[in-house]
Amino acid sequence: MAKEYSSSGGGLVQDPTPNPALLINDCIGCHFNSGASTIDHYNAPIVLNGNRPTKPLAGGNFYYVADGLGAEYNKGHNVRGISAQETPPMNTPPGFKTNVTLPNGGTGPGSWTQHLSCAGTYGCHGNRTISDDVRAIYGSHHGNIDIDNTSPADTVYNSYRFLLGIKGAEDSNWEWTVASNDHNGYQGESVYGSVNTISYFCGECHGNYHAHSNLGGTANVGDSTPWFRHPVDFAFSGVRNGNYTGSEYTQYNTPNTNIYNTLAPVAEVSPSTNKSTVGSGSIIMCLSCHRAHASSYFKMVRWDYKSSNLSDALWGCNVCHTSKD
Amino acid sequence: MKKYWNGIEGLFRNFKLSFLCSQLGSNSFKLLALSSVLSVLLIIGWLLYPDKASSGPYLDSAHGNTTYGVKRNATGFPSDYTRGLCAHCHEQHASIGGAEPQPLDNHPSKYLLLSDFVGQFNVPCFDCHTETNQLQDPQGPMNQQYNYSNIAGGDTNNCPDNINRSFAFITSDCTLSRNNCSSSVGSSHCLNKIAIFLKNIWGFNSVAANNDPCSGCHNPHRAQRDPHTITGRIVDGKLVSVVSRPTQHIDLMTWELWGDDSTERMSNKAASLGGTYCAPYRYNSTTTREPDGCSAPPTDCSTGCSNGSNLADYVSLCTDCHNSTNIINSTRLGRNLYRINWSAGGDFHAGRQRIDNGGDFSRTGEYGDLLEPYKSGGMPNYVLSCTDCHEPHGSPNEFLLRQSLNGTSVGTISSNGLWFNWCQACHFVDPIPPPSHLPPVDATTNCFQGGACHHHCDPCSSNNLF
Repeated sequence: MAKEYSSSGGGLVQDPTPNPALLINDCIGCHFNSGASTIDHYNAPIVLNGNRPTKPLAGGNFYYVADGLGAEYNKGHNVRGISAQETPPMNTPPGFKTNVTLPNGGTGPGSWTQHLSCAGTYGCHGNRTISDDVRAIYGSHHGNIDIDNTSPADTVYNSYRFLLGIKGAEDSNWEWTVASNDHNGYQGESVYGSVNTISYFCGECHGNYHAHSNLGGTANVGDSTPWFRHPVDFAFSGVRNGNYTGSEYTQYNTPNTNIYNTLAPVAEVSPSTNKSTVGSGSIIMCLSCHRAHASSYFKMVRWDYKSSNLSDALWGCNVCHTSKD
Repeated sequence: MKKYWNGIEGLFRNFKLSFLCSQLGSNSFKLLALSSVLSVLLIIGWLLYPDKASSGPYLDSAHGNTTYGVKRNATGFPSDYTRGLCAHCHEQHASIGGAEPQPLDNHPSKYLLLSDFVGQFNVPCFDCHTETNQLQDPQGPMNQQYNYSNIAGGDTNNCPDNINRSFAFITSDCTLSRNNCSSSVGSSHCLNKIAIFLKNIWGFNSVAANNDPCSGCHNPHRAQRDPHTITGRIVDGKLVSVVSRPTQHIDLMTWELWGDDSTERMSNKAASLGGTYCAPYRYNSTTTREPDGCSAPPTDCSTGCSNGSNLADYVSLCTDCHNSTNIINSTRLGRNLYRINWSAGGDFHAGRQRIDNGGDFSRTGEYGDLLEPYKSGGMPNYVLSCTDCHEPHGSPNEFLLRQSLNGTSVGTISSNGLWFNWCQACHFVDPIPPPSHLPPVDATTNCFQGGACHHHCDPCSSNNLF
């Protein structure tokens, strides 16, 4: 009998209704662990734990937003089957822009009131031109390969983390082990002109927060002279009219100056999983500040932005903004 | 808090091994155990906090102060963001919880600020530093930000009591004076003109509307609150400072406070110009001095209370813009401002040696005998700070002249008179007209005389000597 994850029970339940594609479990069910371990015996990445995860993977863990578990909706994406949909205005992705151009053709939705799903048009993974989230991911698990920055990202299975059209370098254990030279390699672009970056992917739903002309554009985000919203897909080399060497960003991650910080990471034009240094070509991205799924912190920020201790609250900002500590 | 559990688990395993394997004598065993514990604690501390930001200039600034720093109290804004957090001034996405928090302007603002630069009375800083409905929590201190005559000079006049009002002595287009603090002849720095002046220089934006005029003199991430009290202003040799020089804005890493270092004080500046700084009296006092009310007898122009070592070198700050080179047009005056030369070849109030041969008008070319504390201060070549005479933001008087100086309240100075009273705060002007001066020399005398007589000048004619 098929199983599925139940948010009301906070665990797997038997489901008399057959799952599509003869699956024995749904998305969440396969990527769920009732304990705290985030890699299971199938070597599947666990993105939702029944207990507080000991080692959340790179995308974070839905534990913190899950009904019956953490249940703090402002700590992550509220995915159908894990959390109830938030009330307006948060039932729509902040910064949502209609009908944005998708990397591999097609457009995003023309409106959004649906509950967020794992995949498909109103989700993240798979082919977002397909509304059904299982169909959107068809064949990708079986065809999955570990990709690096040479992968063309023209199908779901050869795209970064099954995000169709998005390039990157996948860490082999999803950052279960993580270090400055052992991490995901995030695809970025120096001046927000590429559709294949991780930040462009975020912009497919949060369009007004990305300066690409397909998305919010400079009218909504500004440019370096000046920015209206926090830039993404912009390299350090472009700051202060090209005066990187006179900028605070030369001191990234001080006192471990210019060593890749896995808690405030950067993207690259040619990302790799073992690049341990940061320089003028490194690129600010959405995931420099946020986790993709959820985190233990407010607004899925990578550090405790709401800490009552100002130093702790500023910590992540100061990795890049080194003169404002 | 950052966690590196893999490394910590390994350390604990190693710690257990060293603990169990030791078979030495009891004292050696205890020493080894203790050193192992200490080592593990040190390493755990490094692992838990390897990248923790150390306290720096922002946390030392007024905005970043955890007691009185920035804290926005506004509709739609989280009430539990800690004081000093970036978000109180900067909105990363111009949206929190799916909507823009107050102040609402329905679009993201430049530099991610909470609002835009609009004009003389409407810059982002004035969302807090203003008269009413301040977004700062608590609001009260925003109405305790008096002018320089008050906070440094000790004047009891409490108007203006906030920064926005200090700039409200002129109309929004800077063309005219406007009624403010019982004056209709006041003056203020024109913020729009500052934004234009800063265009394309010293790392400021090439579009004037993108320049925050306040940042011409202040680094918002470093500016400190000066208590103007005898204690607490100089700590470990560093003076509390509110200003940063615009010329240092070229490199934001070195756009530091100005005046905090010991070499950036009026004492140093005066010496470099071949003179001596001597602090003026505080309001209604002949025993206490600006800017913090310390005590010094009239004969004292050399101790830390009076020699300018407790005062930022405002001359260097102001002359970054107001110097002998830059042409600065005044909308209100309808002309260019007089150029200012504070060197030995410039003003008498600067490095130029004064003409004074005894102080009793008995000699040829001797004018304007000095009053205390200058008279008894040793009579060196006095070099003044701009703030001895001028307000930095705005004043009920023309030319940003202070309401009170050298302990004396001088009334409202306008182009029709009372300059005589103003100058007499420091100078004794004999009613018997000095050579080259026509009678009467009394309260109707206008030393400035619409520019015909004494004013800043470079170069100076014999009539304009100042």
